[in-house]
Amino acid sequence: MGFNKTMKEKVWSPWAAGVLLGLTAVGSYVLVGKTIGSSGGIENIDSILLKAFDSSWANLMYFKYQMPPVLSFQILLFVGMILGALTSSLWSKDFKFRMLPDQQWTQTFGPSKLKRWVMIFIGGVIIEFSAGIAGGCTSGLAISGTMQLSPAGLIFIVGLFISGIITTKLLYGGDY
Amino acid sequence: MMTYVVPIVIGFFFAFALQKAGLGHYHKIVNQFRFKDNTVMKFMMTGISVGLVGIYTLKDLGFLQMDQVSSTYIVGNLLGGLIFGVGMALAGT
Repeated sequence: MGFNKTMKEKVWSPWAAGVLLGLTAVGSYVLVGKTIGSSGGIENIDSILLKAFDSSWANLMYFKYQMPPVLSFQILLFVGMILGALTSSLWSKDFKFRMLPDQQWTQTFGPSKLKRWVMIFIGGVIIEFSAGIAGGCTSGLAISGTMQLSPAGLIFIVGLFISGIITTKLLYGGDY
Repeated sequence: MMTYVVPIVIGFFFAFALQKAGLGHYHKIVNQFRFKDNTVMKFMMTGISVGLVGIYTLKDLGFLQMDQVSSTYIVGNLLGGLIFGVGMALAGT
């Protein structure tokens, strides 16, 4: 297995990809002194937008001090993430524009694009809102928190699996 | 300059790992909740294990200080997690 051949694989073993994730997380801690996270950057962007439009929400403690309107580590992380995912998918020829998920979606929810877009939007709002409550998302709390043996990460994983399983069960009904 | 480049490089490898695990796909996330595909769990747990060993080793050798530990608020973390799961199952992200 040459290097190029490995990179051209569309999907790696989750163990291999997980090792890369762990090394990246350690690298982030050593080099920048910060943990990887995705949801925080969106809140920094929110904060910047609120300030730009002179919204009164910009003066809330949360947006003033907790998520200040600055070009934060996590926003820079987004830039890298777009490049990383793009490189990975282009290299393995996995890159394409999709309006609907490839598998499974149409069998369960029908071919309506609107339905998918509404659901992913609502889901996204819920995800971002609850990440604010919990203090992180899958990467920022579940992965980064648990690997520092913080109970917060484990509690969060338990919570997201309980409601994730119930929601999927409700959506899929007899097909679950 | 380095303050901008290093986070971008870290993000690069982070998303590279995610894409290679196939987690950009709706069915990978949802099928974890249906227990038909355990990719998410394998990926997360490997990442956590490798990171745990790495961070605690470097900490004990004195190469880094653990000052970023996520704070625990039982109600907040659990409630956030419970709402988060709903969004994750709806969006498949």
